[in-house]
Amino acid sequence: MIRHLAALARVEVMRCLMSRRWIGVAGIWCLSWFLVIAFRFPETVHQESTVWDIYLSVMNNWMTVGYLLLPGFVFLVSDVLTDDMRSGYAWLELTRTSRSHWWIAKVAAVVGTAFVYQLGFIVATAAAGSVSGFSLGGGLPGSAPDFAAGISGIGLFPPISSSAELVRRVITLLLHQSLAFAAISLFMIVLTLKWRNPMLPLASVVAIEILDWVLSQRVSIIALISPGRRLIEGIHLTSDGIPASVTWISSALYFTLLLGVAAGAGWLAVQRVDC
Amino acid sequence: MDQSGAAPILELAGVGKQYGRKWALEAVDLVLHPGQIIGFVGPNGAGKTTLLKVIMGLIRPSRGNGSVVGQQLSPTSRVAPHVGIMLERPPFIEHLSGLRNLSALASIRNSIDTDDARRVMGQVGLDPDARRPVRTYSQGMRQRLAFAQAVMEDPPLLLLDEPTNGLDPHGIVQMRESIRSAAHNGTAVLLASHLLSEVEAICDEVILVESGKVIKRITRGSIAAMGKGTLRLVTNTDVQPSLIQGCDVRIVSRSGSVYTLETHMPTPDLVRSLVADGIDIEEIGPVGTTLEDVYLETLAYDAR
Repeated sequence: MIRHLAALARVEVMRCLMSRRWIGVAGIWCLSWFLVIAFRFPETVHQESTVWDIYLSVMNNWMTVGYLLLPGFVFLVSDVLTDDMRSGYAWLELTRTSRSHWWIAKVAAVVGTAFVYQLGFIVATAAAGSVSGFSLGGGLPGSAPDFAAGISGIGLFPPISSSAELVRRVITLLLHQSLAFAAISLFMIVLTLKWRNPMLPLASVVAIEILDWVLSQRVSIIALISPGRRLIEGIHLTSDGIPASVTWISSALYFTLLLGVAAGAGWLAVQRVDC
Repeated sequence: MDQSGAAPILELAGVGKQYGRKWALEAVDLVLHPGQIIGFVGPNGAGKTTLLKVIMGLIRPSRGNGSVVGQQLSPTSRVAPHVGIMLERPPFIEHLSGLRNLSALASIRNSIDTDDARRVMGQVGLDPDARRPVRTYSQGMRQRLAFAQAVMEDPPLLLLDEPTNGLDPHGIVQMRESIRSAAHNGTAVLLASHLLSEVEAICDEVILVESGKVIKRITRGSIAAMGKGTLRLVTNTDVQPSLIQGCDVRIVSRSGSVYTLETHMPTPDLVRSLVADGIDIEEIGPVGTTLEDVYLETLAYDAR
């Protein structure tokens, strides 16, 4: 059973990774770099900045995370159910497996694609940044004066004191954002089992982000229940107006719970839905 | 090879599917034995796709029951029915080659290996070593690949939706032979198509459907019987009813020198009588009734 499930999950991940929508994703990534560099980076420190300054600045900006990277990922995976049902590929798979296995493979595909999306963004930022003249950040591991002297100093993200800390924060972000993006997207995808519109997840996630932003301006406690704010790295590292319970651990639990609820709701719906 | 004595592969009793107030499918009874080919014919929206989905367990019937390859009809079944499906517009992973597409699908059930997939590709006239992605395939090649996908795991039941769609004449003949060959090996086939001549050529039984209802069931033998007693006469003689009063024959229609006659007389006796009445017969023979005639007649009757 595990072997069959793994084979099906492999097919699903492969289909997500071969989606033409990656072309659109590349555009969204470029836009996020452009917004950060053009509007947030002071020109005077440009030459001293590293590619990691770009990455962390993007990950600490609500606009780039909430309105570009997250919607970009939702756009990438939003049609995993609707496209299958429209094209009939679901028919080919569902005559070879059970509905439960089919859904588990879809969940695996969304989680796997989220990881590749985050890893891809890191690699692409490093590659594009270094080609554009930004430093890779000096030798790793060890002390890296670049970090302290660069954008870190002007508060676009909590400062980094060493290469080891940089590595730790990038890996934490990679894992956390993969889990968070997968959980939020899966929740939106489940909606398409009821309403078969591939644009629904994208519209929903943008609406939630706007609502999240508006509410959190008035009520700081909103960070506890808001998925959007927990996507910002800095909220886990500083305490300015943020409830003390927002930590990496609490966020990981929060998104694991969200993923579990979405996966469970999807599983129940898939058992009964007309494909 | 029709094995009507064997247990049915597919059995539906009064199966219907309702969407809102509309019945997409009404009270369909169907029994399909190993080796049998049944055609499902009707206009767009007749309920063909709905029936296929019910059989595959993808939608829950609103009423009726049945079994598919030994499993009760149920969309919540833990195990999918062992069914081969070929869709009108076959979906594939466009960036992959034909062989990799088949291998990916085969890996789900894990009942065949890549060599088996290669062999089936060869059987349908595709090169398994070709690396070109499926997105560059012609419609005909996609149809062949879709058929290979449907039969590669040797399912006991094949559901084919417009299998000759986009095929050239040679491809149509090959597809027909492939379907016959599958049936000969004991596979039960349900074929949905608009191509009446194709359905007539290979099906043992044809079910005419319209607006979700079964209008008529026709067996291969009954089509032939429908033509019995109707003759086509070609003559330069102006045949008036009075001229053939002595014969048990009626002129149904006339188009120039071509007459359609209806009679209960044996043809040799009729020929002798017509010659005796002074009619110069250029040509005479039975009118072959086709599925198309029956289909049009049935729908016209239904419209009335």
